[in-house]
Amino acid sequence: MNRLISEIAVILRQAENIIPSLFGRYPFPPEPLTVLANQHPEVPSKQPFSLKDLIGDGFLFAVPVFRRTLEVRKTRKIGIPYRGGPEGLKTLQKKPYIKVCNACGHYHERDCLCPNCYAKIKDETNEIKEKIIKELKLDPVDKEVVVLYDGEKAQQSPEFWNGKRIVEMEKARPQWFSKNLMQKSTQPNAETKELDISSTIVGKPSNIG
Amino acid sequence: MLRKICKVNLIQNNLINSQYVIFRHLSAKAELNEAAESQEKKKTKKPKKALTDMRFKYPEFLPQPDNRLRNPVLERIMRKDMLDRRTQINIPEFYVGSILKLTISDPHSQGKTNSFVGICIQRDRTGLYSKFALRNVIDHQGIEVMYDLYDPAILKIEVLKLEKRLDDKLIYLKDALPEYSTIDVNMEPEILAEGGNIPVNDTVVKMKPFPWMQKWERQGLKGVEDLDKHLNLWRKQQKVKHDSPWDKYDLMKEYRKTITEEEQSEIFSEIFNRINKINEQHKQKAKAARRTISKPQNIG
Amino acid sequence: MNQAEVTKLMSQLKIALKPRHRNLKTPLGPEGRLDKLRQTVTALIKYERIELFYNRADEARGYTERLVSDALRYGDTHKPMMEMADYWLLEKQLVHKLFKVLCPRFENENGSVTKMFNAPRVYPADPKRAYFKRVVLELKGNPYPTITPDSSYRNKNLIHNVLLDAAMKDFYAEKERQQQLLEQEQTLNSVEESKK
Repeated sequence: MNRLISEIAVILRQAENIIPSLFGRYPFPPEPLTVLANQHPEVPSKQPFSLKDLIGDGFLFAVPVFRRTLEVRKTRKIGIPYRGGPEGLKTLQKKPYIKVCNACGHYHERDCLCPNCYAKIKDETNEIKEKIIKELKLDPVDKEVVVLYDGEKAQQSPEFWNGKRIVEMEKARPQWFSKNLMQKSTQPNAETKELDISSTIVGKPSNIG
Repeated sequence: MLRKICKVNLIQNNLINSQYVIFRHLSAKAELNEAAESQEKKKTKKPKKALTDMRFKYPEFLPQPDNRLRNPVLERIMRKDMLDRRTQINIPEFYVGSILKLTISDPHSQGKTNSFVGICIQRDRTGLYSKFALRNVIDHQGIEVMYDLYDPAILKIEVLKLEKRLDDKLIYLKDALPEYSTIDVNMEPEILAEGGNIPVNDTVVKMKPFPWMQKWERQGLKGVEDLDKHLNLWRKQQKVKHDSPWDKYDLMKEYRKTITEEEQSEIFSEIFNRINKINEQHKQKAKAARRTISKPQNIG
Repeated sequence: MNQAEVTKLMSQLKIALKPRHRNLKTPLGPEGRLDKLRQTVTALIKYERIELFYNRADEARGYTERLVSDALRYGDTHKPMMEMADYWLLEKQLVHKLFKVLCPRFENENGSVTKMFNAPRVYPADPKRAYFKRVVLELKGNPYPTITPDSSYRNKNLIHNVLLDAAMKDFYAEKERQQQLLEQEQTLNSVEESKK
């Protein structure tokens, strides 16, 4: 019984679709009549307020209003802060920690060694190291090693070199490498508070650059 | 019960501390009737042995080794408070392995006091938070109680037997045969000769069969029998796998767990005079108490 | 909150230490870490100045300082000390060096035994990879040229010293001139008096 009703409903719906084709190019119902038909005053629909109507699919915040100019785009690409943009672009930052070395005038970072000065020292150190290793080989090391350059061994008596292992470099002493042989690496504190020029000159080596 | 006063993160500059140590050490030394050293910054003399030997007797006065959790102001205040507490009751010298009798005030027990006799199995924490645990087997039930050393509710700590054991902690007694933890509750105190070395009790304990609470075979315990006979193959393999024999050469790991000699001597020189005075007073009191045996004594 | 270990006494290290050790990634794990540090400590004592990455250098610094301070405390007849030196120094001639050269050298040393400098930063660095700071680690009292400018002597070529020297020279020249003038006056006066 239900099936019969639903089948009839389907047929009626299909019949509805045939009606426009029956009248060909002429619209149905005819337009003047439709005007008449629609002369009822509009009744304001008293539907209840719904949030769905208000929000609907949702808001879109932070949508760009203006197109970014080519200049701005290129500036952003390499990370320079630009007018109207954020200040914190970190790709290009100033380095206020670059100093000039007092000794040679080259640049270096505040906490690091000067590369120019250090390169010089490193080369000399490596030469001395090689010499020391060649000299000492695998013997048990039981004496302090003293590094001497050309002509320095003869400047002191043989008793002076007792108890020290001498390593002779076959070259002249570099200008910047002072000859403080017996100099302690840690300076003792001053005995008096008075300034005494002679006490500041702890060692007076010659041939310093 | 005992609340932390404040927590301040400390960034330790060792060089500054060492200079500070030297200065304070000098001021304390004047008290010990030594000639005042000159203010020349030559290599400082080694701290007095008497000061550094106090680390065995009073380990809780030393701060915790982890730098991040240290607060020097709190430590100084705590040391003062510890000495103040020690004027009230005698906290005797004892070690892990000694047998103690503790009398504590308990509002819920008859006579308002409670006592416990047991072997000290561990001493933990530093300062006013320092604790010790006593173990005993009572009515075939193993009991371990942890007490605060500076608990104001403690009425009396009595050392019945002063001795050391082969290990720093005797927690393995849990899994040992109960005979090793049973201590006679009515034991009489054993008095040692004055000024001698602390005797070392080298008993080797036998373990109960599996299961155990911890993997004792991995802890390098000396006071326990050879554990191999208890272990199965898997356990033995795991022991070898987890063994770290290079640890004994790890100098910095060791260093980070200790308080340096200079700092120890500084701390102990701070408390040296006062703690000796306090000990003397307690000794005198005990002597006086022994003399007047006929008179009934008040408890607490 | 654990109690500090009291069995062994050790001297204060005069370097800034981090509260925890660094792990130093190696295939063997903790054992590999100590092996790596052994090599570094051996190299430092052998060469007395090495250039390496910061993390390992900072770790090795602690171990070297401890080794030297223990060697000073116990000396070379102490068996556990010898075992420790034997473990840490892979070349056995350096064990001799530790006790016979470094101990006398650092006997009266109040500060640290090692020094560490930040090596010059290498440019251009690969922007896609992290940059690892390099460091120069050296023992004090080494025979090489000093890394920091040598202030143990008065460098008379520095501008302020040049000016001071010139000023001193002028001052003494002026003083001597005054002295000479005074003497001339005195001689003149004495001659006049004698004439009278």
